Amino acid sequence: MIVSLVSSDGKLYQVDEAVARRSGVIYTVLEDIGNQKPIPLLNVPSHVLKQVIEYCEYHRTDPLPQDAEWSGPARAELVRRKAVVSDWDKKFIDCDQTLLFEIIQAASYLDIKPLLDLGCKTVANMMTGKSVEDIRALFHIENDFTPEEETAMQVERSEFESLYNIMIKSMAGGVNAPVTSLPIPGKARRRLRAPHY
Amino acid sequence: MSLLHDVLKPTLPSAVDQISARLSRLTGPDDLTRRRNLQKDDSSDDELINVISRSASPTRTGATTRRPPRMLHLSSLDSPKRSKTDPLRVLPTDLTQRIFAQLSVKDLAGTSRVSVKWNKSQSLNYLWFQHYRKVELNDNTLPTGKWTRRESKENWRKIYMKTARERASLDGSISRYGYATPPAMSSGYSTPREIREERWAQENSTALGGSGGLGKVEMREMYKELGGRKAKTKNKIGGGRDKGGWEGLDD
Repeated sequence: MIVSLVSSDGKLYQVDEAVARRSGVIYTVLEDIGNQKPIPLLNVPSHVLKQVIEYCEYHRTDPLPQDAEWSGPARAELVRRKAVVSDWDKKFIDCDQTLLFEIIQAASYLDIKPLLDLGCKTVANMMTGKSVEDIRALFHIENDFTPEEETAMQVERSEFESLYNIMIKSMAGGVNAPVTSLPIPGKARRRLRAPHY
Repeated sequence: MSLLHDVLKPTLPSAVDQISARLSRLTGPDDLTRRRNLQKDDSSDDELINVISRSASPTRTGATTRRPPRMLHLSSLDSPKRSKTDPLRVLPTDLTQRIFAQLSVKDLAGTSRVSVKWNKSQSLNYLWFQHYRKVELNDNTLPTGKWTRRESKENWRKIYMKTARERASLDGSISRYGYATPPAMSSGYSTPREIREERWAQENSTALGGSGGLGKVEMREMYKELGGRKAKTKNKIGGGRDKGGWEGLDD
């Protein structure tokens, strides 16, 4: 089965159904109204859609998040894929920032979770361990603080950094854990709820 | 001739008048309009100056006392200085949160010094809120929670740092959820009443001294020894001024 996709600038792309179903949005559309007409993607320009299709073509055999059971080999595979970025993915996402941001937006719009994770992770990795000046240079941001604000921030910074070492010790790695985590099924979440005092 | 003269004579001066009037009309109106224009300019200038120099004008003075005027959002859309690759500007909030959620606390602290926009960003503030909750509830698997309007007004970076400082100063001598630190509310925010109650509890426990710390089992022992009678003042068990059955037991 061939699915026709139309980019925001009117270009028609024909892809396999298995490839198109990588996108949660297209998956739902195909489930709901079937594969009759070309699907217009109003928020995705052609140069981005081309990239997204390339990604989906490569990952066409991956387990879908929609299909994955809560526990099971498919989920374990997804988690593994999320943790380890493959070489192909690294090469794929290695593009200029404008395109990278556009891909992230398209992945969010089309609901392609692995691609979205990949994009976000890439941007986050660009920032990890960088100094403030490096980040400014990276994203071409100008420093618009007044000198007074700068000195105030330097005080806060030195204070924080002296604290940070203590924090790391007392919290046993808790500080560095990212805030996002996989959703927890209802029963476990109920147990996690804060007790009433 | 005389008739003509008579006719001409009175008209001559009038003709002169007419000519001079016409002359003046040729130059006069110009002059007049010029003068009027000048006057108008003056008056409009006055108005303008008044507006500018009026000390009570709120917009002008307000702006100068706050911060030097920065680029406004709408007028500077095409400004070359504005970064087109700034993730906080280009991407919507949910995506920036996804990105910045992957950063460690240390890196997140660094991002607040990048620019004013990054410093004031609500998406980053929200992430600090999440970090605060995780640390406060001591649970890294906690799902991301929602915040109330009031909570969104707080600077959670500052609060996070403050609590971290307090925790560091406690130095592990008191358990993290002991009575010295308020037990974390589910949202991480304690109302004024809760703060007051906590303070009262603290005052109580210090005022009671040693006896305040008696556990349930010890109290039960005491009641057993009293043999069914009630101590008149529960809090003053063992205290010097106690005139209850205690004294007898002590002697």
